[in-house]
Amino acid sequence: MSNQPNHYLPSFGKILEINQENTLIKSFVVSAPDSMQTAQVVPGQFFQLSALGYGEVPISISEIDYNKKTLLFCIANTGAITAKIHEMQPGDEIGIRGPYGNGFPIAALKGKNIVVVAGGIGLVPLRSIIHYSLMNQGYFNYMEVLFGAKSTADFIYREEIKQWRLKPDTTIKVTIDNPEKDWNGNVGFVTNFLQDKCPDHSEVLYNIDPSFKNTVVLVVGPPVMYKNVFKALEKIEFPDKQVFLSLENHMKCGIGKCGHCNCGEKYVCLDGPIFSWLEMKSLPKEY
Amino acid sequence: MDTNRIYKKDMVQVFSALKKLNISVIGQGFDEKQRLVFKKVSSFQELALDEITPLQPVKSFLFPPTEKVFSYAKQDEKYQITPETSPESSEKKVLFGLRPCDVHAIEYLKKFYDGHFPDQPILRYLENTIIIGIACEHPSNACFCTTMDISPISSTGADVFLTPTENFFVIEFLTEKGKSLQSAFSEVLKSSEATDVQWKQNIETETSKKLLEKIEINSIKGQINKAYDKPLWKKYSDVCVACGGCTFDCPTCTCFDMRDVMESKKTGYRYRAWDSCSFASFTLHASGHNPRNTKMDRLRQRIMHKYHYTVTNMQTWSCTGCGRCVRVCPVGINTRSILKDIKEALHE
Ligand code: SF4
Ligand code: SF4
Ligand code: FES
Repeated sequence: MSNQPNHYLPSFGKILEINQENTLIKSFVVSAPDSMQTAQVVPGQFFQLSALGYGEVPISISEIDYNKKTLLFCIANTGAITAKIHEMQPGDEIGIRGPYGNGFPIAALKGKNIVVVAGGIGLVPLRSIIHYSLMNQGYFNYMEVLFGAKSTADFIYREEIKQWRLKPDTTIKVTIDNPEKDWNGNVGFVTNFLQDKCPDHSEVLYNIDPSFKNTVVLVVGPPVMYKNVFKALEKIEFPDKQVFLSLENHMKCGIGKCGHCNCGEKYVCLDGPIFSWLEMKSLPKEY
Repeated sequence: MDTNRIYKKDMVQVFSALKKLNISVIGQGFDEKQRLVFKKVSSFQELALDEITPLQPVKSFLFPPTEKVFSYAKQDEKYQITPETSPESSEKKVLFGLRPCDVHAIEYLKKFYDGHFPDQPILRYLENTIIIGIACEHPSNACFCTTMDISPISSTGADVFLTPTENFFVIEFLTEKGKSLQSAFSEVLKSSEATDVQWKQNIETETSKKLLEKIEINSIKGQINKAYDKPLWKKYSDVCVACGGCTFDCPTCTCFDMRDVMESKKTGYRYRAWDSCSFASFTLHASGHNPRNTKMDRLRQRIMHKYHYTVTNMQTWSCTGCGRCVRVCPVGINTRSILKDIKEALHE
């Protein structure tokens, strides 16, 4: 019993590089602690990052470099702990525990058409799967990324998006909530792409494969957004087993003990954070 | 099974033998402020076994209300982490005279804190804890253990079990851990009489008369989530003041928060402390969104978790019917009445 490892103790990684993504978000390249089995990290999983003296926050993984053993985290400055992490500099040590959670069902996604629907910073956990597709040419049949931000000031990954656009089997569509000067792109919510309301490229899902058979939708965004996505998918009778969501929740321990992330019979930190839409239907209505 | 008698007058010897073995004894008694609590006792006389069970849950002795997780120190830009191992966690101890409800609660905690990611600090406490259960003669007026399928004479989960009579206990050593204590008792153990099996039965009969009527809820086991949208919740949550008392005093509530304290620029520690699903902050997201935004959501979560979610996940209710939540609630919310309402709502 007590000769078990103590899962509450963080290890330490070194911050190698920091990029300011927008006013709110910075991305951190962190070298994984030696003790960590990076080869087993799956896109969609998360880590508990510590700013010692301030506390710990769950952050989903944005990119894993399996060769260099580095992890990329994109962190929004939304509270005291993330503010402290934002003050950190390259060379600093950062407390890290994980990986935790289930991650995307990568094996089941092989050969599929992947439609990524990201609302705002929901693109952060989804970047791990987009990156996976870049690193594993041909693993997915096709990928379409639908990204909605409040405004152009909320864009992240500008450089990466340019690169993603260059991939032949990948389409990127971006929209902002309200019109802006100097913006000729789509305007409106990201759900419009799925709802026929968008002037540009409507009927995304039909165009990819009218039978929906080989298509999987991955969604991340705030509750209003993912609920609207579900509504849109409901209308076109898109199968609920083929939709996956990364669910956000308050988390403290990451290992199924502190109770904060409990929703219904599930623990987001253990059974999630990735849930199928079908599973979501069995969660209490709070979620 | 080894059944013997141990006379109360001989308990002096047992206590000094335990002391020699470096085993401390925790049981219910009055503290210096005359509060009925679980505390470390040095003699049998200090125990107040004829009282009802203390409001304080016995989990405090394996899952302390607040405890350091680790300390840290920064040196040459590198962090040193020192896990906290409190002396209490590795101290051998006996929980003396725990009632069946509380023994069941510990069984539940054992199961809960083990699993895929074992909670090493709590398991260390458990490993060093030996449980001496006792048949319950003194229920409180809020007790409903039988509703939760726990008999007041159940010895399940106990290492040693006592059945009290006026002058002696009938004693059973049930597990290996329990048998490890036998030497402390051996000098004063007396053989039991054939009629001694009767005592337990008598207590069951007598205590059952004092208990609140058993509500048959096995018929709704696994169905309780169907009451999710029923109107009953609001009636209770309207008066709830969200103090968290029902969860803090609950022997099977397991939730905690983790926070950091900075002691100097380079040193500090992380601690954990009991937390409660009754608080809005418990589920509040950094974005401001709160999935359980109302008191109703939160009261329902507490009930659903105890009577439905753990039934699915761990095949057991996480309630022992100990009545503490009822005794502590400042506005008189009665968990047993909620159960009754759920049953009615489901049979409508
Ligand atoms: S819910 Fe109430 S009666 Fe049940 S174990 Fe907890 S405190 Fe005791
Ligand atoms: S003890 Fe009563 S008032 Fe306090 S949180 Fe529990 S139900 Fe609400
Ligand atoms: S984060 Fe603690 S139980 Fe899931």
